[in-house]
Amino acid sequence: MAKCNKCNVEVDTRGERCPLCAAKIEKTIDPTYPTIKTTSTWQFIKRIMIIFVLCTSIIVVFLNGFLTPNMKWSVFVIAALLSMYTVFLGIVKGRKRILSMMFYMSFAILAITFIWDRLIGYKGWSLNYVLPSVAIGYGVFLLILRFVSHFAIENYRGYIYLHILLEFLPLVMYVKNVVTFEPLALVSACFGTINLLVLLLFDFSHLKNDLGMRLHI
Amino acid sequence: MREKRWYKLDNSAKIIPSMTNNLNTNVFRLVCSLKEKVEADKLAIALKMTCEEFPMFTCKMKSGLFWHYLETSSSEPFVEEDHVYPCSKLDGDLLFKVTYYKNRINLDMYHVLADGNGALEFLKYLVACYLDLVYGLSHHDKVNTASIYARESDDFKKFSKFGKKKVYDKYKSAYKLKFPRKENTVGDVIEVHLSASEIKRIAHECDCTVTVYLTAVLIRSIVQCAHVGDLKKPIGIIVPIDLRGIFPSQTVRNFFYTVNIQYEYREEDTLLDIIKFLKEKFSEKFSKENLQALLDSYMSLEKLLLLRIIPNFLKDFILGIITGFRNTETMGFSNLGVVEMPEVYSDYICAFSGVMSTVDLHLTTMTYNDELRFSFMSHFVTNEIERNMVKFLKDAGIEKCKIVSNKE
Repeated sequence: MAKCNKCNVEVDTRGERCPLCAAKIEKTIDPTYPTIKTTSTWQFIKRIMIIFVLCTSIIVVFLNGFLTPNMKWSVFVIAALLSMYTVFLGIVKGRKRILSMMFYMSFAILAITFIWDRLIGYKGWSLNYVLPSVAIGYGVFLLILRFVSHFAIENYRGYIYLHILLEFLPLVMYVKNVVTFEPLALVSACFGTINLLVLLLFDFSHLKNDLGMRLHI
Repeated sequence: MREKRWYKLDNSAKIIPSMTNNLNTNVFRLVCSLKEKVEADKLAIALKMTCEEFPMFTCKMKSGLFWHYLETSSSEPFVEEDHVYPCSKLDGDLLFKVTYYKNRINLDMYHVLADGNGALEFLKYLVACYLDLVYGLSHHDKVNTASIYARESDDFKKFSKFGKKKVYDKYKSAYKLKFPRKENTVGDVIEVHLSASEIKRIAHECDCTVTVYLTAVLIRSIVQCAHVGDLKKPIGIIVPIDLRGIFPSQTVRNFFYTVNIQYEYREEDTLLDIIKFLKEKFSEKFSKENLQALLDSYMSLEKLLLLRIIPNFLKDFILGIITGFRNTETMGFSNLGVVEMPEVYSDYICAFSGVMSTVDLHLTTMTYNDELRFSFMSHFVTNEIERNMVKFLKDAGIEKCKIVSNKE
């Protein structure tokens, strides 16, 4: 075992210096602690993404300035890049909890599309088409998970409750004249009703317990 | 499939999620060093046996509207070879992780689930099951004889007398360690292996306990590193107190409070003066009356309706800011005391040790048979305090001293 003559102690470390005084010592042949890999592949991909977003943004701003200084199209490209990066971050962060990740991603997509809709002159497509489509898509996904796969859906009941509210939202908005396209709002509400019925039939006994857990003061 | 249950967080655990960040993960690691290499398949079986006895430990933490809570997880606990830094953030659902490397069994646990002594009961049971499997013994039932109900009990509630006068100690702003910090968020571990009997002898020569002696040496080591001008502020050592020593509790959940021992530096003070000061402080702070008052105060605080109805995310945000500005401590020192295992296992176990995550520096000590191990978790580039402490102990007559570190 290595010895630090300065500190007069036996040393077992992964480095070639005494952990106390940093004096040079012999390398421990078989150290007690393992060597740890410090950066993960995801962190590396994240850094690549940041570089890509930054470089593209800078190039786009320069091109915009040189070629068409009167049109600010680069703002939209940068906004698109940031939207893409936000979605990517959501996927990386929630990759191990697919249902919760999908839920938060739905909201992120809704927010991003709504902002886009406003930015390019509000036509209402974000609320008319994207909102019910996302709600229906997530609802179908939930039903598949529940009946086809062996996914432990009971762990995500909170998201199911919130999602059912989301499925009824387009219809409520249609009644309030915020949404103008009726068919998708109706289909979304249909899925909401199916999910609600499934919830009442299969999970009603858990409802009280769930509310107790989530709302305990 | 496990029976689904849920548990409210105990009084100490309630504040922990808001204090958790990449630097201070609030994960601690307990280690059992065996005399022989760990067999992974046997350890996996032992873990399964242990989880059946400690079902609460297979919970995950979830957010409610007003508080976080624990709910039985469907994830199966597993063992794997150690490949992360001690006290790193836990990935996955479960709030603990069992790893092994060579002859070491590591238990990393999030503080929300249990305190050091509670987790130690889990580790002791795990090690006993493992040794029983490997060496054909059958003594693991003697390790923890409490019922599952008693182990899961929230003893803050059990022993608090509501409606008592509130007592909150007021502390001064403390001296902060001013060493250059590491660039990354992972802490370095420096373990110091000593002979427990040697330390005990020296502590008894100074007419004090090992905890008081080591705290005094730690304070002296800090003083030696500090600029005299900075020492106008007191040195604040945060010491967790295991309430099981005061109240007849068998819980493995959190059942501790921390007290802040603030020492005002005086140039003429010798080690014996510091010991005298600490003895007085310890007997005052560790008295049953003081701890009962502390327990009642914190439980009353938890019961405040105004606090309870604030949404959880807002509580986390506010408490996170408040704890971020807390400046009454210099570092922490946890003494998990003497680990007791049935005699039959002493042929197979070398020692127990532990480290606690921190933003600056934290010292944890554990003793098993004649092996006392104290471990520093540090986010500083230099390790002057550790060096001073070792030098002081060597000068005091400690013969056996070995340093084990994960530093590169």
